[in-house]
Formats: sequence, structure tokens, C-alpha cells
Amino acid sequence: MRFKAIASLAAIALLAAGGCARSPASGFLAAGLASARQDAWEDAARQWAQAVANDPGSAAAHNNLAIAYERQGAWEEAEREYGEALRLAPDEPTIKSNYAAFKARLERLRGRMP
Amino acid sequence: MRGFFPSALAAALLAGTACGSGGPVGVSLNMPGIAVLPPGSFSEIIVTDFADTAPPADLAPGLELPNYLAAEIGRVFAGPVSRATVPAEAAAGPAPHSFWKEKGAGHEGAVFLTGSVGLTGQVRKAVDRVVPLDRLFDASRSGLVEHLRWTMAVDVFLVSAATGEVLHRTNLREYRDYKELDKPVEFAFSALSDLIRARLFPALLGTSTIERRALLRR
Repeated sequence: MRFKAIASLAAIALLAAGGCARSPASGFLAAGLASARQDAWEDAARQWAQAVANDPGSAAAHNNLAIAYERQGAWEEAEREYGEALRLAPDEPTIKSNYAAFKARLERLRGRMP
Repeated sequence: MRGFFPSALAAALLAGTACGSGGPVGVSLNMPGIAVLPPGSFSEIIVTDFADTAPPADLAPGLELPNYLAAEIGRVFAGPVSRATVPAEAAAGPAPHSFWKEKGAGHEGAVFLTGSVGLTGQVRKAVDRVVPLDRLFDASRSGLVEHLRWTMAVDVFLVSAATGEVLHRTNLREYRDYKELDKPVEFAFSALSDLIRARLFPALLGTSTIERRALLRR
């Protein structure tokens, strides 16, 4: 009886945890965040590029990588990654907001040629 | 068995929180600027007098603004930075290629920073956001207050000293409101010149700016 209860308990916990299963990118996402917090953006970019390679469907990985590219001044790469993040998660407000700020900055700085 | 359901509930909640706390992480980034001219395309900057399109009575922005810009550029630009006097018509035009080629003789790697500036003050009425509660329905009080708005409008040209060609043109406009209607124009000039500098330099020199973005955890 006791064994049955413990087994059921474990099954419930596993089922609940299954609802938020870690993606193959999550370890690299977290490592990239830790690097970014220490202002080590090149390392963060490497971690997020690995996250994208491991899980190309991770909008978060594409979003973060886009920001790292922006930080490096790699505008075309940033545009590509934002585009991919928005394709994967078109309604994600954080990605939409980041992309809007990125585009506004580019236009502000580039849109002044005679 | 009695303790089974509370324990199961706790286990499920714990498992759920293990994947929680996934909100975005705000970061401030020092992002590189985007210079309008390719890096290395000029090695010297000559800041000329600007044409005054609307000078206030006791200030000459056409002289003061280039003085300020030249000093500030000198702090961040690696090459030589100098001032030059040109007629107002040449700066506002700008003058034909031949004028700038002649003016830039011996400085072929330079660009001229020239243009025109207008600084205008205007008393405006605005809704007073702070109306005392006991005077909300006082008909003698309209809820409007006067403030002084100073506006600086700058038309900037980057001209090649080698060819006299206009390489880049930009229009910048900034304003500041003051509650004190007798605020001396120097205060507004100083604040507005700084705003113009902050907008001009990233495009001219590719200087960096601080930007806010949000990283995602999952």
C-alpha cells in the first residue's frame, strides 16, 4: 500500500515536471545569461549560438543571440536572428519590443543620407 | 493514505516551480554607433561657422554652436579638429564644390562640418497639471500656465575637402520648455547644444549609445 502511494506520488511529480520539459537549448541559454550578466558578451554570443544549434526552434535563443549581435555591431546578423525569433514566436511581446527598438535605432542612425 | 493527497499536491507544485521564474531579464547595453561615412574615410574635421537663421538678441549660435561642437569632437575624435571661418551664405548653401576645394587645400583628408542653426524662443500656454483641489471649479482659474519653449533647428552638412562634394546632410531639431519666462537664453542654448551633440555624434563618428533590451530565459 505504502509502495503504491509513493509510486503514484512520483508519477504525479513527473507528469507535472513534464509540462515544462527543458529544451536542448536551456543549458546554453542559462550559461549565456550568466555571461551577459558579467558583461562577457562574446562568450554569451557563443553560448546562444550553441543554443540555436541545439534547438533551432527556440525563439528565446534567437532573441538573445540577436541582442549579442547588436552589441557587436553585426546588424545584418542581428536582423536575421530577430526575424527568426519573430517567425517562431510572432506574439511574444519581449521579442517584438526588442525588434522595434533595434529597427528604430537603425533607422535613426542610417536614415540620414542625403 | 490520508497524507497522500497533500503530499501529491506539494510535489506537483514543486515540480511546477522548477520551471517557473522565466520572465525576461532587462539589460542595458553599450551599443556601437553607425557612422554615416565609412571608417577611415576622413582623418581630419574642420568645423566652420554656421549660418544664423534666427539668432536671439544676445547670443550668436552660428559661432557658439560650432565652438562647442569642435571642442566636443576634439575629445572623442583621434585626428585633428579645427575651426574655420566661412561666410554665412557658404555655410547655409552650402557653397559650390570649388569653394570648399579651395578652402580645404592642403587638408585633402578632411571633411568640413558646416551648416545653419536657428534658436527661437516662444511663450506657449499649456494645461497646468497641478491644480489645487479647492480651486478645481474656480472659474477665474483656467488651468492654463505659460511656459517658454526654446527650439534649436540645425541643418548640418559634411563636405569633402578633397572634392567639395556634400557627403552627408542631416536636419536636427530639439526643444526645451522652461517655466521661468525670463530664463536667460544661455541655459537653453547649453541644454539644446548638448542634445544636438548627442544626436549628431553617433552618425558622424559612430560613437556608442546606451540601449535597453530584454533577454529571455527560455
